[in-house]
Amino acid sequence: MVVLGLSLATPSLLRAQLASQNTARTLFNEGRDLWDEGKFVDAERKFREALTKYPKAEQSDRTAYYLITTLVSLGRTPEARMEIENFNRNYPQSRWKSDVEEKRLAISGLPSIQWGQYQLGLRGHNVGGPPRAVPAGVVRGTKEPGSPPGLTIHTNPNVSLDQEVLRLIIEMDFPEGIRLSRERLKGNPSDPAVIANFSTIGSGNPSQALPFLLTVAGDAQSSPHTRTQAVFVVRRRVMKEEESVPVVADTLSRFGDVERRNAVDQMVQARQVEGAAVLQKIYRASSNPAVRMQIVESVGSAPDASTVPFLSEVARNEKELGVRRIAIQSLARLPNVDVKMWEGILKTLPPPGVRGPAK
Amino acid sequence: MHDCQRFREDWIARLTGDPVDCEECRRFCEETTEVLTALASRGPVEPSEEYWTGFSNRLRARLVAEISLEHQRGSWVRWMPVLASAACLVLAIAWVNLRNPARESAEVSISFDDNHFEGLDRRVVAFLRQSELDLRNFTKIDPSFAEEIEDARNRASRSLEKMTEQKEATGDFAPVQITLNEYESILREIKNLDSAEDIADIQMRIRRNGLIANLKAYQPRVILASQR
Repeated sequence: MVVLGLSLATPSLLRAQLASQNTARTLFNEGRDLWDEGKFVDAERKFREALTKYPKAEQSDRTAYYLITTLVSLGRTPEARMEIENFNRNYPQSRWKSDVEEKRLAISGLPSIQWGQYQLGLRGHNVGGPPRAVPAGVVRGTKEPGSPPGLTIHTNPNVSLDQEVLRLIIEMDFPEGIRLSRERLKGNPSDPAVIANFSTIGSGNPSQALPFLLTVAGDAQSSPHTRTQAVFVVRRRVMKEEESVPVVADTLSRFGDVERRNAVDQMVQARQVEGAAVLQKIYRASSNPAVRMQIVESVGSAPDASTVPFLSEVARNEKELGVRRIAIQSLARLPNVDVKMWEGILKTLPPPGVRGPAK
Repeated sequence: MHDCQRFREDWIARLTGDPVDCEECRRFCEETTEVLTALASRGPVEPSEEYWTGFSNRLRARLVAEISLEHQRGSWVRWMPVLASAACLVLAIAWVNLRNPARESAEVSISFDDNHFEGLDRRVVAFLRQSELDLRNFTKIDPSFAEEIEDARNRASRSLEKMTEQKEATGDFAPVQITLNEYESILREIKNLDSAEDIADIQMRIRRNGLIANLKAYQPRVILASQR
């Protein structure tokens, strides 16, 4: 009798479950569409409705994550925190757990720098003792095979969680954030958690941020994308703040020839609207002939109409004759250069017999 | 075995009237019977006035002593549950904090910073935000989630339709261009999914490239009050 009853009840039960599942999914999809359109308040309503009416539906953890994200976007952090607590209580095994942890850290901050170091798996030189505690459920990654000596670097499967932790360290303690970024790049020169933080680093103290980014740009080990992104941040900073120009010039003067060439070439390659202007600023700010030489060489290696005024200025006014010569040679490669410009350059050249310092 | 104490208690309570061999108990029964008989013959005894005055004084003194004692003991007894509750609360908070130290800063207020993408088209920022969530979603998909896979493919198609416009709007933002190029290739793979193994490969690629982190990099950053 019981078996008969169960066999009769099961299909209707399954049908009811399926119907609930479909309604929950529809609510989620509606909420997500609203979210895509930036209608966060309406999206929140849909996500809440799905969670309230169908708390046991499949992927309700995903709906809960979307709700948390929506609340954070609306700046309603106390409610977001409450939903994070609910999430951790209701879905302890969820695949979304590390994503939620990322949100939690973003709105609550790191417990301590040491905790962040531990989370990033960077517990090497100059790093203090163990953290007080590690939140349950946060996944620690596997050890990176190429870790530098004395360091234990781990990579998390959720790179964006590492990025968030590193970002918070950079915000809390900038020199330490730079140090950790440098160490991580030693293990993986294309570490996405660091690269995604270039813009955060670029907003920090220029005397530390710019040398770090220029070093990445000048490092032959870095991938072209990494170098492009580092240079992009440097360029923006230089265009925004005059005081950052001497820092870049000084950093380049301290580089070795190869590193300097790589960094300047990268700036030329990444040249867009403001590229030439940035290099001219650095050129003018630099008292080091080697830096000026490299800038003129790099700019002159593929001269075009937009570089003519700069090269012409160098050809007329540069103190070092070696640098001048390179500018003139670059201009000579260009067709249709105005004859008057050549006349102007010739007038500024020293009389025959006077030689500039050796290159 | 005869128990004198037990026998006498039972005898007084009239639970037993059995004769007893114990000489002492037999004498106890006889004496007690005599006393009870004598008392019964005298009728009820009224205490004197002096007795009641003394009783009143003794009662008052006793009450004062009791209250005083109760006061001393009471401060402990009365506050015991409160203290116990407070101790439990302190232990609970300490335990929770040890497990989850970030709660210390639970009430930190936030603001959003968008200086790092000043000049970037807002439509691109919205697209990055949406793409980030789509990719987070895709990395959770199990090959058995047929409906989710279909949904991901549809959304990938829709995002690809917008891609050219987004790239044009990106302008000089090289990092965003790089990210959109990577994202576009992932979207094409999602759109053209044809086996369960493909899903795992794409998920691995998304993680390895840190694409979610890159999509996040040029969105508003949450700034905590303490960092301002």
